[in-house]
Amino acid sequence: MTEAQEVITGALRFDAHAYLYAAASGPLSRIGIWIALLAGLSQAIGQAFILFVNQVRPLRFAISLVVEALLFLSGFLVWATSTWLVAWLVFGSRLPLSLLIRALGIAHAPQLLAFLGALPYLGVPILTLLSLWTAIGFVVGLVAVSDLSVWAGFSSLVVGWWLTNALQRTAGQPVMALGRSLLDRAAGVPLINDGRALEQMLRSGQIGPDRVNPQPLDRSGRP
Amino acid sequence: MPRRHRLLLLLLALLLLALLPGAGLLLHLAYSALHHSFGLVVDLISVGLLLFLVSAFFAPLEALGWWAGWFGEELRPPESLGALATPLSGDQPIRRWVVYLDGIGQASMQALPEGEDFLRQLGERLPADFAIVRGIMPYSVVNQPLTESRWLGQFWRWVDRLRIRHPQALLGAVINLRNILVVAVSADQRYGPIFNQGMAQVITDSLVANGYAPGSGTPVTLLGFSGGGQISLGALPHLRRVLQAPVEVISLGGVFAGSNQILAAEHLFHLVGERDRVERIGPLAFPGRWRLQPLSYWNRARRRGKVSLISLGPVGHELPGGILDAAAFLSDGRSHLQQTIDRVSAILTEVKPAELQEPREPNNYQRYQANSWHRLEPSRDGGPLPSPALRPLDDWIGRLILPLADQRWGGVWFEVIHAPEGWSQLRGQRLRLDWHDPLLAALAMDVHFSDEALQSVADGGVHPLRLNHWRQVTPLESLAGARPQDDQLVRLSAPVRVLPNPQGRAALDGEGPRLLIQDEPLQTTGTAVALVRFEAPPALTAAAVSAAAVSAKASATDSSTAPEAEPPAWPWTAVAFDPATGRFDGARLRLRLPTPVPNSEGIAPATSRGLETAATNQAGWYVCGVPDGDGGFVVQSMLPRSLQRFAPERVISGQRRAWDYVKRQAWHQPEAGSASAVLVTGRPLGEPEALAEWQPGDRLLVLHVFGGIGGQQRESALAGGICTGHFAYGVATLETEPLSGELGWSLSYRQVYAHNPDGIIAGAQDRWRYLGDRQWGWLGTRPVADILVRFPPLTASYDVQGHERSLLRDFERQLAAMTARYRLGDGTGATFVGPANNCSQDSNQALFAAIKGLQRELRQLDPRALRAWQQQDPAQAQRLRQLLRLERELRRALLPFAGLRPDWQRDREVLGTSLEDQPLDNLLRGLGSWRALLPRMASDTVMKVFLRHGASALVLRANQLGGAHPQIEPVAPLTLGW
Repeated sequence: MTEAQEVITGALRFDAHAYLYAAASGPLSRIGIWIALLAGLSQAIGQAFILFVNQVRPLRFAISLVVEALLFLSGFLVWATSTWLVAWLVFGSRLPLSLLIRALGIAHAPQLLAFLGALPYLGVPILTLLSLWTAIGFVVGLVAVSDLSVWAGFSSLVVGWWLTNALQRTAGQPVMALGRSLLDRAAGVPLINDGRALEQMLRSGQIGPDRVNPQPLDRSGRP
Repeated sequence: MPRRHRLLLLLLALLLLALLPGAGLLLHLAYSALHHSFGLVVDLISVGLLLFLVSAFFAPLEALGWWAGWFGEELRPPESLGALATPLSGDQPIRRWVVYLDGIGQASMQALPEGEDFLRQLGERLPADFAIVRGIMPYSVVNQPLTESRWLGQFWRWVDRLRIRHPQALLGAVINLRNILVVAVSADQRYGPIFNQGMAQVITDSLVANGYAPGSGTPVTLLGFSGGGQISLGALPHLRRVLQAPVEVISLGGVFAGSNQILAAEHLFHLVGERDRVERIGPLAFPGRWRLQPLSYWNRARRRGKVSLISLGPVGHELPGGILDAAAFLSDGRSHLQQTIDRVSAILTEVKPAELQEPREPNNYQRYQANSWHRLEPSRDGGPLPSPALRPLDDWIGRLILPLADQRWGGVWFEVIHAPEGWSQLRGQRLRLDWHDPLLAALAMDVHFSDEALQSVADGGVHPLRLNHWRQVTPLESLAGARPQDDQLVRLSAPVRVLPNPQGRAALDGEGPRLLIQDEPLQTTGTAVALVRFEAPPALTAAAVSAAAVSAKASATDSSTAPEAEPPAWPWTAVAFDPATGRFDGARLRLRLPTPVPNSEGIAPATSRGLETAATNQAGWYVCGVPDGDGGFVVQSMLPRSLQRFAPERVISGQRRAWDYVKRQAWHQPEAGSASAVLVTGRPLGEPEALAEWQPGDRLLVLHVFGGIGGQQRESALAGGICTGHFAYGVATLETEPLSGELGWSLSYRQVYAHNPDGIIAGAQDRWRYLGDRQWGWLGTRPVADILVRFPPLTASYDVQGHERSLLRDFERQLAAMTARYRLGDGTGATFVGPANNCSQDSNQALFAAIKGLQRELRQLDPRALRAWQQQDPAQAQRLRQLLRLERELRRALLPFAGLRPDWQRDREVLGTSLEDQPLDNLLRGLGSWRALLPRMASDTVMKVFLRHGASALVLRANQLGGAHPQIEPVAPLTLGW
């Protein structure tokens, strides 16, 4: 088993040693980024039905998946930075940012399975389960590499998340718009991903995209 | 412990085990041990699981790719559509289309061999006017069989061959597995909408290609085997929308989710064998099928009787021993296949059981038929009047007769019982009656009874069953056909135009003149009326005395409330009122007061015990009825003179005091046998001025509310301890009543009334019928309030650019439209009461529709013309301004959350027939107009607004009037203070 595999399976088992090992290991310095990127790709595949509903063509479909993964990664980095700020300013933890990114990136390991969200019927509960799994992983990872208590770690994550959201809605709006327009460009159509609008789109008048108008056959029927 | 519970417990235990610390290690150890002992098998199972996951992952791809247009824009060739199982013969119209959706085992265009057998035999069994469509791949939105798929066709063909040769072969399970996944796609909340639309399109296209005409209303049955059950239910709502026809589903061992919109189906027949293991996946895997989710479509549909679970006995799912097995036999000698064919063809061809079913117990309508003196008998009822003290109730009185289905023209027959002078030769004839009002043309609708409606018939409701499956039923037809028999007696309001028979031939049946009316016929009772005071009851016969003694003994609880004997029906003597002397010293009449038949709860609608000594007899009674053919007069309906004349006991003026009376005193501790009439006015007027305003010719708006029946014989509707009551609008005209020479009124209600076991029909109801009728009316048993509102801005007419416009008249027409919709339940055959739709909500909806209509018309006037119009008649303009102010306030009071009642804003919306349709939506809508939720509160709210705008009103209250009836007590309807 390679080192990376061990780290990932360890993270899946909430094994604090996996985080410590990755933190100390030189060759694994970029592992957090990679896991987060792949998790983003996996999530994009799990949610790909939105691309289908928006009738994205095959090549653009593939490009969109990659763009979504990159956007996911950048979102993750912003969130990690906010968490780092909170841990430092509120809880006084002098943890290097790169270490925190590595730990939280590794904690994304369960999200590598997010592509299973595409499974019919089982997909939605699987995604819920994975989110829970990942959330616990964040706390375990953060506590393992820092000197924070469980509650301080948890609070940093939540406040960091809230800070990211607030940023997205205020100063970060142009960046968000840029991300959206990137995605729309990749897909070739303005993507609709709001649930209500999707439903309306599905229900709009016609059945299916290319409505067939069959000619009535003669009444003798065919065998 | 039931099997399902055991399984749930097992799953729970597994979950706990997985979550326990150290469990992972244990599982790992267990896996290693297994692997050590059965290495290959465990590996194979792991590989199988992995394959399953992979195929599950790709299962939605076809539907998604189809939606996204990945498979090119090519049209589907007709070969890929479903085809008829048996050719149709000649040009015979098709009665019903059946679409077969095969089990999840189907891989090629041919259904499973057993499925093909089943279809062939079913086709032979069904009549020639049934068409069966087969060959639809129930898992492919492009209707492409697995065996013809792009990449894996070769593989699936091999699996298919193997499977047919060896049904038990493991590989066949692969196909089953693949298609179970498709069921999961159809049930998935994300993929389902796409996949199901795709399937609906395949089904629609296949139907159309074989000759089905969308919009023709020809019913469709989806016959789904196994996974075909889910596919059928998934496609159902889309099919309904596109085909605009009733669609029912027959599931043969169907595996389906509970989140499907089963309520959209006419009915779901679910046929399951006791040994069916595949079907059980449904109730286990889909939470919507669990009892824990009472609001899932499945559970709601079951509660509404939309689902029939039919057991097939000791039958499994697939071959061998399955639902379609021709080689496995039941104890009665039939093969499994034979039984299935029997069941399915019975469902398809037989009239649904409830449709023929009589009510399980006779309903009140049927009970009351026993009272022959209250039954409509035109030859008797049209006979000569036995006394000059009687005068005809109206010019045109007659019976409505529903035309035969193949002789319809939109109107109905009118059998003349009484005609005005000059037309008396028409008595006894059947004339064509037509009702002309442009508003009503839009109200003709097709009638197909819903299962819910049929269920209600079986439960004793009186529904227009005779109109079932009629097309474009007009409001007049729904009035004539509302009850099982032609027993609708009506008055025709002026103007009645008599159009001569164009040929001028002798008036044969139906070839006499035609009658043309503008207003809805008024449902009534009796043909003649008199004002009398009862003098003496008939002498009690010995038999009646002893019967009374027996019943007094039987009622052991309280002898004081033991019923006295009901006096014999005949002959009562009464003396008529003489308007010349102003006293009861006119002609003597011999009256017949038939003893009414008690309702299903044993409550007599009226009694005549002690009638002659009751307080109401002092002022006298208006009696209405028919000649008995023997020199006497049958009193079918009675109204006390105090409720029919303008003679208020008190005048209460001033907004606050008037409101206090309406809101509190009027209903305070109602006492049986009492009646009152109080004039209230919102302005500070003295008594003489307040009285002097009321003049003959005034039009009045009527607010009617009734309460409940309490006491020893308390009605079951009060079981919860709360009486909601009923609300209706009505109209009245002040006029000098010829029998008394006093100022009185003719009053009729516009009853927005849901279907009921009493045979009360929504529509315009005469006070004689609705209130005074001794068999069908409420005067004897319920406390009632009729508030006659005088508010000229509402009731006067407006001259808008030469058009005479009256808001009251518009309102009447809106109510006529609303009640016509109620009679047919918007085509479903039944209207049920819910928070958003009930008597008071929908009556007030009609009021708003009328006001909006007038506003619309005024807005269309160009502003200059409007100004000129205002200057021309300032009084009229002032009235209009008052009316608009009233409207604004009424709207604020009744519709505080207008956004919640889009149906009140638009002109027409389907009547939400029951809470089950969309429970939350319905409740929210109801709350959007919460003051109209409770009948009395609606009446109070409207009255308060009227009083604030200076209206005056006569508040008439009556509590269980007529003879003594100590077993019942009046119960005031519920209202809320605010």
